[in-house]
Amino acid sequence: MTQEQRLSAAEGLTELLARTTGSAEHPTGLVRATATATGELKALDLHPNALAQGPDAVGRLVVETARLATDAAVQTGYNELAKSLGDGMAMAVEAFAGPPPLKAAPVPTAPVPAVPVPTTTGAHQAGRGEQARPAAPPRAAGPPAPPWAGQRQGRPAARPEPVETDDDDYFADPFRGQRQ
Amino acid sequence: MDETERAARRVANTGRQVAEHAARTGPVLGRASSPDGAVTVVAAPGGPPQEVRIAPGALTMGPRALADEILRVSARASRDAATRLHRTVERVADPATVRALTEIGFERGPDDDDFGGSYLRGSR
Repeated sequence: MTQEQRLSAAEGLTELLARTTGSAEHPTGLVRATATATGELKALDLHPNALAQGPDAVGRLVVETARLATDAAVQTGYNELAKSLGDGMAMAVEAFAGPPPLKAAPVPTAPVPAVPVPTTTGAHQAGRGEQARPAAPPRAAGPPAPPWAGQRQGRPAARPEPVETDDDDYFADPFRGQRQ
Repeated sequence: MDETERAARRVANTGRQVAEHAARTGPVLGRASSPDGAVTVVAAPGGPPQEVRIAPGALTMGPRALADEILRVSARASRDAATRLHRTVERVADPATVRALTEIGFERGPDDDDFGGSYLRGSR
């Protein structure tokens, strides 16, 4: 890749991140947010039940949902980057900017006890980016769930987890499996 | 040494200087509050809000009005964070680096902020 192409890619990345948004719903279903990849909140919805959790909990719910929405926007940015510039350039960006959120982050847990939230259909505008639902809360009545309902949106189908996930052990003794 | 290596070295030097400065002065954070203190937001430059504090009385605003107030205050906290980032980088980096901050979306706002208004709160 020439220097001109790299410069063009860098300019494209800045513009891409500026206009990409992501949306997320808190696992409790009490807060929904839309944010840019730089963390700027563009939309925020609080469920009426959220306020019953108290001021501290509301603040924490907003912070966690904003982070999820920002992660969704960054992930969308990576996806767009890979589409427009190719996987090679996306991997190069990943090398210095860090892995995309959905690859790096553990699934967040709900710190606030889940409150049954009445299902609302079509009440929330999802913004331009992808919508992240890290852990779908149990839903009450509603239309039958499609076969893919259990999958996280914006994430490829799950691959089987490797049996050994501790890289440190491997690098400490890479031949341990071959020793008699 | 080609141009790419020189640029990489400049980037590394600038990064080290900014990191050393931030280690002395603490993290760069922006803050903003509602005029009545109902909502206070702390944000880092280029990131989502790190802390949202809501006064107990603000819950009477209702979910829609409270959400809108959080949006307004968080936008001001983000602008404040960008301004503080400028002030931090200006002390250790060359003007081209500071201009680059603006180009990538961190616009410098006015120096006077509404959070405490104390000189001692600023990053030095």
